Amino acid sequence: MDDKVDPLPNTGVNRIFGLLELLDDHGGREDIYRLADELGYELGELLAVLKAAEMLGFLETPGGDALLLPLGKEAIEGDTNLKKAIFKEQLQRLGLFRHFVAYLKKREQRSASREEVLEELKRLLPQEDPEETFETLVGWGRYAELFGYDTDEDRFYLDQVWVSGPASPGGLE
Amino acid sequence: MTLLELERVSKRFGALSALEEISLVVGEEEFIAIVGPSGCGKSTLLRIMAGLIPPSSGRVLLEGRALDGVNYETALVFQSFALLPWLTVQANVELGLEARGVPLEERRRKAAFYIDKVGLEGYEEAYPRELSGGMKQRVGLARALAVEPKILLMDEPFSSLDALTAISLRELVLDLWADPQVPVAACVMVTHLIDEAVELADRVIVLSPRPGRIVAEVRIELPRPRDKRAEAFNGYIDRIFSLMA
Repeated sequence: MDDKVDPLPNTGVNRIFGLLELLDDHGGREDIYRLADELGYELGELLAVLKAAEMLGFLETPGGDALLLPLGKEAIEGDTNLKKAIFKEQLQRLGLFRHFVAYLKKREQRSASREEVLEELKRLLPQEDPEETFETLVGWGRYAELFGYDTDEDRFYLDQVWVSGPASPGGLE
Repeated sequence: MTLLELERVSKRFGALSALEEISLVVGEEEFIAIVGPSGCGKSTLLRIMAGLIPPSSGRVLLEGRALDGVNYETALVFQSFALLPWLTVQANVELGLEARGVPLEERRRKAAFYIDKVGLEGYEEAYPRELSGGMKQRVGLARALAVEPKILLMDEPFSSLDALTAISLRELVLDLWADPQVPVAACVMVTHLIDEAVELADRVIVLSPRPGRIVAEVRIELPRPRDKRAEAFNGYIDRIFSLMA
C-alpha cells in the first residue's frame, strides 16, 4: 500500500489494456522504442501509458524494455468483469485513490463538487494540471466502479462502501 | 443456415456506379470482413444489408424472404460512434430499444445487461463529451447489441481510434463474439485494414476499386486467438494485399 500521492499519467483505460495486449503479442517483452514506432506514437505519449500500466502493477520497464507481468497477463486473459476487478484492486493501492476514498468518506453523502475536488488536487499535487488529473481520476474510478461523477448534479462520489476494519484493510464491500 | 443473401446486387447513384453484381451469403456463426480500397462501396454494401438504402438492381433476402425496407434483424456500429450528445450512456444505449417500442422496464434491463457486457458499468450517467473515443465506441457496441440483432454490422468501427485503443476494442469485439450470452448469430465488418480483417474474420470478401465487385473470398483457417506474428497470419495478409493490388 502506498500513502504517497503520486501524479497520475493522463491516459485512459482502453490504452492501458491495448498496450498489455500488444506486449503479449510480442511475447511479453519488447523494446519501448520499437513499440512506439509500431504504434506511430510519440515516445512521450507511449511513456504515459507505460507509466500508468507500471503504477497499476501490470508491467515493468527494465533497461528500456517493457515487460508484461503475470498480473497484466491475467487481466488481459480475463473477461470484462475480471479485468474490472483486477483494475479496482490495483487502484486501491494508489495513494491518490486512497486519499480520495478517505476524503469522500469524511463528507456528507460521501460526495464532493468538481470544484472542491480540483481544490484538493491543487493542494496535493501543485505541479500538476488539476483538470487533467480529475479527468483521469473519474475515468479510472468509473471503470473500476470505485468513484462516480454525476455532471448534472456536479457530484463526485464513492461508488461503493469503503471498509476500514482489520479483516479487510482498505478493502471495499 | 443462411441468414442474409445478396443476389446480384448493384447500386447506382445517378450516373455513378457504386456496386456491381454483388452476390454474397451471410451464414450463421460467420464473422465476415469486407475489405477494399477507399470509395469501393464497402459502406454502401453494409447499408444495403441493413435495409437503409435499396439496391438499384438485384435482391436482398433475409432468411429466404425478400427484404423490403429496414432490416430489423441487423444493428449498425458506426465509425463516428453516432451518439446523441445530450443523452447519457444509459439513454444512448436504450435509444434503439425505445425506437423499437420496447417497454421501459425491459429497456432498462437490456441496457444494463449490455452496458455490463462492454465494460461500461459505472459510466451509465456519463455524457458522450466525458468519454474517450474508445469508451464512446463501447457505447456504440452496447447500443447495437441491446436490440439483440441476428447480424451485427460494423462500419470501420476502429478507424477513429488511436492504435492502442483499437487493439483493446478489437479484443472486446472478439470476447463478445465468443460470449454465449450475446445472441449475435453473424458479424459483418467493413474495414480498409487487411490485418484487422485477418485478425477478426472467418471469411474476407475482397472488393475491387469502384464500382465495387467481389474480386475474391478468402477463408481464414486460423484458430483463435490468432498469433499476429505467425507466418500463416502474414501469409493471409500478403495474399489479400495482392488481390487488392
